[in-house]
Amino acid sequence: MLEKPSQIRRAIAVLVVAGGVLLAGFTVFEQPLIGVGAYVVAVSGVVGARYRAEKPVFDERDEAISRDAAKWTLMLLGLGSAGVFPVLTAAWGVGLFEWQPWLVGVALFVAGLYLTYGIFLRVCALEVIGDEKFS
Amino acid sequence: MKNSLDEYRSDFDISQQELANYVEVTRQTINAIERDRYDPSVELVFKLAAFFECSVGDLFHPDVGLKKTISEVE
Repeated sequence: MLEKPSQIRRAIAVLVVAGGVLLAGFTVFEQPLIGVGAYVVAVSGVVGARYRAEKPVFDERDEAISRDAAKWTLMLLGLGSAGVFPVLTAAWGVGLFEWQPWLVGVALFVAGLYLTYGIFLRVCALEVIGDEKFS
Repeated sequence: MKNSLDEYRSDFDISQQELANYVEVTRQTINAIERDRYDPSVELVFKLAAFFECSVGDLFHPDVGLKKTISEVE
């Protein structure tokens, strides 16, 4: 069992999804401690599966795939937010819309996400170019 | 990026998994490179060339699309 990297990858994917679903599920059913317990077991399984592998389980191709997925996520979220939030704000301005607490939470989350992205964009750019001026 | 990885591999009679183990990536990555579905990092390109004891240019044939080379510029 779990001899091949592909099997370990599959097991890790299952554990990650199961951990998240169990945490959310038990939280919804007001059993937070069981949810957190299940999540911790799943995360421990992920760590264990990764460390018992003798061959590489994830490599640079996985990093490239992850970068692409992050790029598309940020782009779609950014484009969606750039369209949706100004429209909602305008609708609120003319009295056609009321901000709900959950939507305010979403808006603040998106703003926080892009603020974090902006900070890391700057940090990563500095790592690459340093303080050298462009010629 | 076009490459001759599968030809080198069959010349030396080693499997994708064996090659993957030697250059410390997954078999899927070797397969993706051979099928031109993944462009490896510079580090991996050099690692593969070093493993097969050939030059990077022997192994990979990118279409760089240059308009001019240095001798044409000067």
